[in-house]
Amino acid sequence: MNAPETGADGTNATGAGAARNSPDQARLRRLADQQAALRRVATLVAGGARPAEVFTSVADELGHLIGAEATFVSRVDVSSPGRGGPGPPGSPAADPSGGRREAERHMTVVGSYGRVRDEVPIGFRTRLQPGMASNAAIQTRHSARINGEELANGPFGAIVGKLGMRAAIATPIVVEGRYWGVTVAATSRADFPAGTESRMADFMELAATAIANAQADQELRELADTQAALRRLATLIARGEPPEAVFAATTREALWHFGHGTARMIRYEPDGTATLLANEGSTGPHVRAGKPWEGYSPTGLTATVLRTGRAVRVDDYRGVPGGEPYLREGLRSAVGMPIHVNGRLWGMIAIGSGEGPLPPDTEQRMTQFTSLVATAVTNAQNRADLMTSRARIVAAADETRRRIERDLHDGTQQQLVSLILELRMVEATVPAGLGELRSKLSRLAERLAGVSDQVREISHGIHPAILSSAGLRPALRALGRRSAVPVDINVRIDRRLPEPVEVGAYYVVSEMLTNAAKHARASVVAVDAETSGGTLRLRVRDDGTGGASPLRGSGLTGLKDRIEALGGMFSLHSPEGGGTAVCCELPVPEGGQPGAGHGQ
Amino acid sequence: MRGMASSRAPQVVLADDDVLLREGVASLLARSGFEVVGQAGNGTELLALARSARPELAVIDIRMPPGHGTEGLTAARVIREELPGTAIIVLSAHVEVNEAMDLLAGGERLGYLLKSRVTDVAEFIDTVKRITAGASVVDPSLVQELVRARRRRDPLDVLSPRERQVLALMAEGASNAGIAQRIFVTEGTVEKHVRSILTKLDLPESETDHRRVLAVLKFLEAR
Ligand SMILES: Nc1ncnc2c1ncn2[C@@H]1O[C@H](COP(=O)(O)OP(=O)(O)O)[C@@H](O)[C@H]1O
Ligand SMILES: [Mg+2]
Repeated sequence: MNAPETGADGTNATGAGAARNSPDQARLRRLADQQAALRRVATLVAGGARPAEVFTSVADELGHLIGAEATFVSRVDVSSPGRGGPGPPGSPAADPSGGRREAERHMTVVGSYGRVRDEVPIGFRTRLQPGMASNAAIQTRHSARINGEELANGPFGAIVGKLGMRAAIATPIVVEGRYWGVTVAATSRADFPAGTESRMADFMELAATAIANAQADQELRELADTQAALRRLATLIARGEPPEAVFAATTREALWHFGHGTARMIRYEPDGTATLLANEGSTGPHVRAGKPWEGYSPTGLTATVLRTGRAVRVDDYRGVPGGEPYLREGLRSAVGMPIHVNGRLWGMIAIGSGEGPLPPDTEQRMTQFTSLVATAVTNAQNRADLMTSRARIVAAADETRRRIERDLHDGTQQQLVSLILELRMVEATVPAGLGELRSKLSRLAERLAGVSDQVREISHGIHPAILSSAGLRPALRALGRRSAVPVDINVRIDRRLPEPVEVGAYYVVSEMLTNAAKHARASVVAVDAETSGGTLRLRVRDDGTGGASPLRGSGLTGLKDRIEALGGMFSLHSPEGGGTAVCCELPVPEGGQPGAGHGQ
Repeated sequence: MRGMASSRAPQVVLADDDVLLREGVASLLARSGFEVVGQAGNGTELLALARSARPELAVIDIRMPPGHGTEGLTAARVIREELPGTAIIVLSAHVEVNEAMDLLAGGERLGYLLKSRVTDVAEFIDTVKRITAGASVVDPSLVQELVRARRRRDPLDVLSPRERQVLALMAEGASNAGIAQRIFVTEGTVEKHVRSILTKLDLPESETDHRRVLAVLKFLEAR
């Protein structure tokens, strides 16, 4: 880095050499350098640089200020024991039911400068251990220096040796009164000059503001991102999208926000098996979305979440028996979050990372996602229940109508016909002299015949026999012939459809024809029905007055209920003065038996 | 062909699952010069009966066990196939044009009637005799439904009211003589009407009354 011209340098026109060597001048110059460095960092922050850039720039500036060849800034976190928090590297999945453990500190490198860049990159995470300068700095809350043998034999010995570092100083970073992290500087010279600790501390104290800003910015952005993702998912759920779509979208978002390799959704089945519902990111032969999820280790996430019903993490798959498939797909660590639906463990979302352990707040941040999944599942179940019960109600009503029709047809009407027949026989046996009686009997028979006609009409209105015997097409054509308003019917259906679908479509047309005659003052009604790709599309429209409102009657509402109970879609379009149209789409299984096609 | 020409009473089989009604029709037919040689309660029984009795006429309820659908129609088809000399009348509580066309496609001497027609005793017996003698008959109420159906561009608009009336009677299966009798005109006048109708509607001249019924029905259904 280039130290810019400062006032201290520029104004010293005479006796420069002496002035530069005076301790005051040296102090002034250092102060000016420090100010300039901080200004550059502040400019980065103000320009909206990414936190990693800001932290790296802090490390960079610090290195130059104190003459260190390697510096890094790292975040320190404390894991509270008993929450399934991070275990030491290489430990198997934390067992939340296990005994209390010591609180542990980890540091995660967030900015790195100089020769350590390769050995200690951003994202590098390690547990703080005795013998580390950073550990001492965090514990004493003061700068700590390590050099010589102590450094060479410490936990970082290998890296230190490789880079030829001989002394290191760590300084705690306090942001807004809290211990935020630690910064470490190292040199290949024998040691740092005396007083470097305080110069580091001075600079870091001032840089903390920049760090706080950068971090706040980052958190805000993450929050906004997460909120946006949650909103997207909530919208999917509110729209009643099929749960599969919600599962896939949630898994995608989970990978984007939390994972560094993979995200999976797994459902626990009542029979004790598990199913992989969705997979995003890395994959392997063991990953088959939609298929049973098997072969997982009893100490891994799937088994542990199932057993404990709680969040579980694996910090290093190398320490987990059965972790090999995950290692092979490039994963190192993972977190599994339980999804509870109606108080029951329903499944889990697992996210994995190819780098070090996942950040400690992962579990907490993921809970919003898992509760959205739970909502989606509950909604879907409620909808399914509702659909079945609606379908059941409609089916029961239809069955009743069929039974009444049968009773009228096979019972009442037949009896009436035989009664009339008998009456006619009696009439025929009346002696010629009793003309009066004979004609009375005849009138009686005629009146009964009228009743019989009425019963026939009623039973036909209750359930048209032709619909069951011949199918939708002849039934609709018959409806059209009986309509008071002329009807253009175009039915392109060449097979029999499931009975509830035929009955539903029939009632839609029937009600629309009645409405067209009763309310619309229409001159024609067009009926179009066709099946394609597993869907029956039905459209009925009149050219009448429009302005139909389901709220004013019960017919249209009943149709909508009936169609939706069949899992179909019903829409009414009836602008004032613009005619009335109803469109329905009903799912029908493909293929099916060819129908008794009659007529054209 | 056996028929009314033979001196003895024409033999009839009846099929209906409603015993009371079946007995009623049986006694009506018996009193009207037919010999009821057997009765059946479902399609299978009917077929066995028809095969053994080889009757001149079968009167069949369309809706019978086990399915209470159109078993009568199916049985009629089989009888027509195996015993083409047997005239068949299918009775139904509702009349539907697709069923009528289905039945009449089988040939001559077929009738498709509303069940309640049996209570109009004299007219029913007359119709039965016409069918046994060779006519094909379609229930007037079905024809009325077909003729009355409202159409936006109605091809029937080219017909005069009298011609419409004649067309309907043609569809019901009446012969020219029968039509003449019904509308109180001479047979010659009816012939004139029929020719005019066929020309206006672009229908083919038919050799038999049966073909004429089929052609008119088809035209009306597709209208
Ligand atoms: N095809 C139509 N054209 C104009 N108005 C209609 C039409 N269909 C329905 N309406 C209006 O919408 C109302 C609701 O119709 P509907 O639900 O079928 O009940 P209903 O027919 O028993 O009154 C009717 O009362 C009528 O005012
Ligand atoms: Mg209505």
